Amino acid sequence: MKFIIIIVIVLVIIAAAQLMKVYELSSRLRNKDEADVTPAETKFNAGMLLLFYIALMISSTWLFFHYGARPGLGASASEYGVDIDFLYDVNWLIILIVFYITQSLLFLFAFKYQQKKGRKAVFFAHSTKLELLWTIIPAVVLAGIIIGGLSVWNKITTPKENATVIEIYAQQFGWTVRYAGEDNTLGNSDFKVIHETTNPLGVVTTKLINAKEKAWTREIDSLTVYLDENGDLTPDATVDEIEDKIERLGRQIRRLDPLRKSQTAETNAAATDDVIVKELHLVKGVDYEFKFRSRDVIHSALFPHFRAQMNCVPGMTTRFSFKPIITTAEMRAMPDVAKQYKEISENRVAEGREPVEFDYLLLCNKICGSSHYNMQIKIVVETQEEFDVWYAKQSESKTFEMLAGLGTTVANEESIDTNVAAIDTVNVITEPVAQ
Amino acid sequence: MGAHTHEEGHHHHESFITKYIFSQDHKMISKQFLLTAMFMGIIAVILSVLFRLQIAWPNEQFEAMKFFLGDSYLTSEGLLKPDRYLAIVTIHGTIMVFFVLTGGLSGTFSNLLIPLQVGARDMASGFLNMLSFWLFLLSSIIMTYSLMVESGPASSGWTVYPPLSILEQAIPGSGLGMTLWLLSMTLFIASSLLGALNYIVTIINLRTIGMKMTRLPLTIWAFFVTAILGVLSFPVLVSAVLLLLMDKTFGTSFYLSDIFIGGEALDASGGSPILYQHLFWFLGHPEVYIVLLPALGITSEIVSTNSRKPIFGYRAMIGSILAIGFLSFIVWGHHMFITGMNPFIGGIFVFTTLLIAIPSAVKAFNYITTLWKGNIRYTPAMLFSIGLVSTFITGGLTGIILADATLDIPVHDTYFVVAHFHIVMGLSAIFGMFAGVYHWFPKMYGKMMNKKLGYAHFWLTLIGGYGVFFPMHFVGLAGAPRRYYANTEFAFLDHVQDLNEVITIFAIIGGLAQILFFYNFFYSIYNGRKTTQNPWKSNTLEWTTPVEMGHGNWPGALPVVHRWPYDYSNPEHEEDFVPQTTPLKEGEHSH
Ligand code: HEM
Ligand SMILES: [Cu+2]
Ligand SMILES: [Cu+2]
Repeated sequence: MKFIIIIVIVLVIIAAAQLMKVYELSSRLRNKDEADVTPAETKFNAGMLLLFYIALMISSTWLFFHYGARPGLGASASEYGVDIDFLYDVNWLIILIVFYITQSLLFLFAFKYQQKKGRKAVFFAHSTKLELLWTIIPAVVLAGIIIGGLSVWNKITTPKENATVIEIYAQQFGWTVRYAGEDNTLGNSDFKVIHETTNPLGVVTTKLINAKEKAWTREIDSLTVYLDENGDLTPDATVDEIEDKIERLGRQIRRLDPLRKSQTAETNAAATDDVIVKELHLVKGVDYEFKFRSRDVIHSALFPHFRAQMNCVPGMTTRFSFKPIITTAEMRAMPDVAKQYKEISENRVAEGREPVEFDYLLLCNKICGSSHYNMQIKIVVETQEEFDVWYAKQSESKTFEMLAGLGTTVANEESIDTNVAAIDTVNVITEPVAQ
Repeated sequence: MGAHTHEEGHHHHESFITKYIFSQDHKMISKQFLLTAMFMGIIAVILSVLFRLQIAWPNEQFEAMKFFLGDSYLTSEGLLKPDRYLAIVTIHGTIMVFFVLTGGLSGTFSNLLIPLQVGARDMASGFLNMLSFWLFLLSSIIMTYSLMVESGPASSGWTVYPPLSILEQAIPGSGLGMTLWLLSMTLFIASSLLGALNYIVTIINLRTIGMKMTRLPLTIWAFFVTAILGVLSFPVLVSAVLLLLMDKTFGTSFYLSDIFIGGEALDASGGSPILYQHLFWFLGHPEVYIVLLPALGITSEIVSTNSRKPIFGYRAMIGSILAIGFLSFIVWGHHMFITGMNPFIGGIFVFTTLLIAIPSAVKAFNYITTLWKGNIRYTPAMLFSIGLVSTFITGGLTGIILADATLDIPVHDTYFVVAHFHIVMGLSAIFGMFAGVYHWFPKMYGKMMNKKLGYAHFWLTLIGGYGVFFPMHFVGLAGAPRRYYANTEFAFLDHVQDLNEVITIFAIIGGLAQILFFYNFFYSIYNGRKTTQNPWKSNTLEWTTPVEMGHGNWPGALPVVHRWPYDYSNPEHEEDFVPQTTPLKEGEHSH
């Protein structure tokens, strides 16, 4: 197949070369200079310039009217998003006016002053007046744009007092949400105590640290015993591996110290009631303070319907706040949204896929790996009553302590340890120690 | 061979090897840069068409994928693998920005035009110049080779942000592929630095008698400021890249902190991924002007020559080149509004960034005024220059949105950004490069390129280019993130899927149109009409050399300059052009 394609290409090139040769020879006979543009060529290109100009004006105008500034996203679902949308409209207006004027001047001059025999161009090398004019006008317009932009920017980047705190946590390739609980304060967290299923966000309490330390110490002991007993029979590579593991566990234990020092009764209490879930429910009309973290690489939390975005960077916490103003139900009921999703669903069904309903989504917007294109979480905006019902249900099983197996339901210390230890064996030692 | 001899300089008999391979003649080196960049450009264009096919029709198999990429890039169903999608986007972007538009554009035209237009026999150091090309070639080879390694080439985007670019656990391309990327870029930067130093020294020291700084063609001013930007910013990239390499291979943690991946907590702590972004964009923003300024310089020259009018506002043009060059160093933060930077600092970057719009607007208006009441000759080079001005305006205007932190929030990292920077770099700068090739081809090869093919190439490229990148803004406004393997997982993006298909069709048209150019280029080298000494009736010094130039450029003494380069249609002269070597008439004052 490749071979045939290559042969065809070569033949086409040879044929084209022959045609070109004929053309070159004939123009040589007519004694034309390739540098001079003939009147016919001038006419052709002038016509094309005009045609292209008209097509550009019509198609750009059509695109703007057909798609608008926020195609398919509907009205802003956050309070300050309304300001952003307004700012967009103002800026688009300015930009379009400048676009039409400058492109028109460019193409129409390029068309109008096409080469004519015997015409001499006007010698016009500079004019301080004109140059000042187009320095000052853009400067004034830009000053307006800057002032408008920065005033909204300051407004939306200033944290709101008494906002409800929610943590949004990113990892390849999904999102986790942590509610701060009654006290509206998130507990401390640290990547060293992360556990995939029981403590995905690495929330820290003194209890957890103690349990971890015990579990890791016990792990070291059992590995040491294993080596003492079976060391001679074990291949050298495995012995090295086990020794590595012992060393690493020791290092991990030492790294717990600073964590322990920074825990207080308050931070322990703050963590205990945190609720960790896989959906984001928000209440209409409440100011939210979002805290963003990442476990592995940089992600970015994009909320297109709320006109909000913030990067999630490993090693630091970023923040952002907004207030939702339209519930999911209200959005679904809006005529344009309803119509759009009806169309989308019809098309999807025609292609043999599932129909869809409108939902707010949070998506990843910073390249983060192979499934970057499908790293999303649903957002539900609802009334306070609806939210309370949902939240009460989550609090029954998804507080930090319950997930981590440290809950008060587990009565004695010993069984807490076993619980954590069992889990941590999976965590620290990824393969079985010896076959 | 008579024209080859001249009294002074370093002329000596050249063997095939010293003439064509290890040449120290700036003209030959310029051609070597151009050919290498064209080859790299073909790869990058093919990659772009392939990933556009994927975006437009994500569930379909394409023979082309298999043909160009081979099985290792495909899943068992014959679809492109998601991480390989990211890989080809990354390599496409890297090649286009660095190899085509930095190495290719500056390497070709700075090399060709600086000695010829300032009246020098060669670059200040022919040897360093040769070294610069060989490093460029080596880095091109490594980058191309990285496409073939088993774990895939670098896949973390052309900006290679850590930790993604460091952690092999995060994406396979961050293994060997990334190491090769870093190696290739280090060589590339060394090449750029050697080139840039040479350009600066040559412009400062080797100008011929009478060639005052205020008589330099605007091409030279643009190359000059570009080279300064390169010298000041590339070393910062080197350090960024070296630190990245150390994090990757020696276990340091400049950019890493608090990472839990593959079921284990890494030891790294105390580094910051944001530090890398600061270092990268400190180069990265000047880089976009390194790409753009030479194209603008080329356009200034071509617009003036073909309008048969002086460039309007010569001094204002120089002033705006300098202003853009200076400002480009204090705007890098506009790439980082969403990283959680202090909002006050964000505000400062908004201010500095929008300031750049002022000198840019001055340039655009000056081009338009240069056309006014001209006598415009539609050579292919001139058409590409007009196209450049059009796309420069369009791209500049959408830049206003991205520069405004508030407006950037919803469109940052979406296709809106992709549309914006392609209109400026992918169209404007590339148009400048095409314009340069059509205009100076006679100087490079002593032949003319075919005009009819040139017209076809221009119109298809302009239509293809606008057709791809204008609608793309709306895909971004709809909230479609860039670097997405497919938009199928989000129902709200169904709304713009038909636009995505249209875009891909235009991309195929635009891509195929480049065949006309390549064909014309190589055909004309061998079979083109012989050129005359000054085919465009131009004023600058390169057209005073004989058609067949040897090493040393002018057979006799160096030309002496008496006037600025833009005396077109000067009413005091009979002809509509007055070469810079023409002495002033009695009573005439120089510009
Ligand atoms: C045939 C013409 C071209 C087409 C169809 C095309 C298309 C694209 C598209 C769709 C992307 C975005 C992919 C994504 O972010 O998901 C992209 C990325 C990019 N393109 Fe192009 N492009 C073309 C030519 C150029 C040119 C001439 C340049 C020169 C500056 C260029 C530079 C870049 C860069 C820097 C990226 C970013 C890569 C990244 O995200 O890491 N492209 N191209
Ligand atoms: Cu992502
Ligand atoms: Cu920038």
